[in-house]
Amino acid sequence: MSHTIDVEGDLVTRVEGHGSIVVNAEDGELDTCEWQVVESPRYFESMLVGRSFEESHHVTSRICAICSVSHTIASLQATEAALGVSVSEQDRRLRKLALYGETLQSHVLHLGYLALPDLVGEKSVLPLADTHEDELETVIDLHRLGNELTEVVTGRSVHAQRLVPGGISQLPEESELQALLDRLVNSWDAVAELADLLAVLADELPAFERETEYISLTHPEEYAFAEGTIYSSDVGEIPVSDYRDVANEYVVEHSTAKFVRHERESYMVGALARFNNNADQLAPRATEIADRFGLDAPVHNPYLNNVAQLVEVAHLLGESVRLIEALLDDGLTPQSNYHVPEIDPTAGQGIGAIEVPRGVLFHEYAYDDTGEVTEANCVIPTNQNHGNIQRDMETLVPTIVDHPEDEIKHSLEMLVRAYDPCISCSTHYLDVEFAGGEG
Amino acid sequence: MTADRAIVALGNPYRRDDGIGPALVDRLREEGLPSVDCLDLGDAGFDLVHVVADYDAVVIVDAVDFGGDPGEIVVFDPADPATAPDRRGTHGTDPFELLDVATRLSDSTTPIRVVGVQPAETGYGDELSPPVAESLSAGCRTLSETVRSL
Repeated sequence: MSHTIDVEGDLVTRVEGHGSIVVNAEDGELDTCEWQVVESPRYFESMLVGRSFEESHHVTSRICAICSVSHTIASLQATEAALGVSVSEQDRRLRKLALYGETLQSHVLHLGYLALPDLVGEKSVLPLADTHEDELETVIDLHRLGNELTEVVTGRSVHAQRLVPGGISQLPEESELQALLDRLVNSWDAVAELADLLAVLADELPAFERETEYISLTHPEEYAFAEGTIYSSDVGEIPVSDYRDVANEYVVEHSTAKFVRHERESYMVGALARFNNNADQLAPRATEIADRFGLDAPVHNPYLNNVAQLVEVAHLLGESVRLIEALLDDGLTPQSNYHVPEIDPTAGQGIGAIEVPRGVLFHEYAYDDTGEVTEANCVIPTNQNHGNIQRDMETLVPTIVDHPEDEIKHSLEMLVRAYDPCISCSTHYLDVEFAGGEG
Repeated sequence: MTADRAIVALGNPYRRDDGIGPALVDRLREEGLPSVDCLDLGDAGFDLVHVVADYDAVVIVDAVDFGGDPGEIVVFDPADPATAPDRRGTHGTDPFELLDVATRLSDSTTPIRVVGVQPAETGYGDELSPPVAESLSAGCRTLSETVRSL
């Protein structure tokens, strides 16, 4: 593949690609320890330039299939902020529901499909179809539930069609919402089964700790996902308008992906960062699961991001129930199908900031007075975590450098996967290369 | 879900010929195949697990680099080791592994076929290359025939 670095740095979005761990040690002395991300630029920001405000979110939904609704919503927020478009409370609730659905399916997918094989000592999910059939069926059922949440609101489980600038082009039927509510309420046993499984395997998670800066959104009234202000565990609240001051991107020699830092050499985003910053706002059942695992903020073990995802699965399920009940209680305001809110574009600039499965996501667009994008910037969670993965490795490896090579490989692969990086199918792309010497 | 058979597109329309699957499914939707749902999963390969559980027969269409001429079409059974391993789709998520998981879990006997189209360009852009665009009609015919044959 082509490895291209955009040294100007403003127009590159990287969310997929290949990551490699390189460790070089001799006689117990560590020479090289690098998290190498060898991605090619994806040019989505460039593709946005010249596009109409009516299509920006469709383009960015293709940045990622696992979190396509997330990119759609962040994109819509940026567009609406730029064009001064408001969205009704009802439609904001529905978008939030779609985001919860996508985050639910993404977390379940990661826990069940990527993390679980690590914990049971398998290389992939395939053998689990024989050894953990019931558990895997639970994972698939919860994944389907997340998809259904998204599909009912957006018309599709991936690459949403009904979310448009200013609102939603077609509302779900109240009967669909009621059916979803029933499904959600009946899914607590599945969450409990997943928690039981992880509880049995939790001892396999390495007891490694490294304190870092944790960055997420925060909101005074809820555990922030769909809206909020930036929050740093080091310095507190930061306006979203200052997001570029938070996500300071820089280039390292061993990676084509830019690394990011704020107050320290690196920071962490994602479920554990959200938990550390906002744990007090979790739904009661989510708090119960956190307590069961002894998860007490702040947590400094990055491997426990897996557990934080499980906690968030319970939170998302509970909050989805609450949201649907509120929507049904209020009743949906009727509108025609193929509804397109009237928007008279004016030149402007706007930022979208939401929490997505892997952390805080920023989209920023500038539009001209015809409603065409003149500039775009997307800061993806996975890129914000690369620097922290590197620092974790640098701290962890010297403590295990005398362990067998396979054990080091396994610990480091688990570490990277704990961050749930958006490198499609990490099981296959993540290669650990021992450059020589002994482990 | 309104039918008992599904044609499932994988691919990203902003990666040129990788969008051949979604383009074919768009066309077939307009034609309206009886008892067939036309689904565009984009790059969401894991959703194949649900599709295999939901339908009696599944045809997957994707850009597949099998060393053919651009636009050339191949049909194969992903469970057939004699043909499948060298004909992987262009996506990182391994759909064959996912299909294995799905069939093992459900003891499914759902017949599955892959219709692969040899890409010429999978760089950035939203237009198919000329030879792949010319294969659209043949691709639609192949998909219709394949889904009817299962």
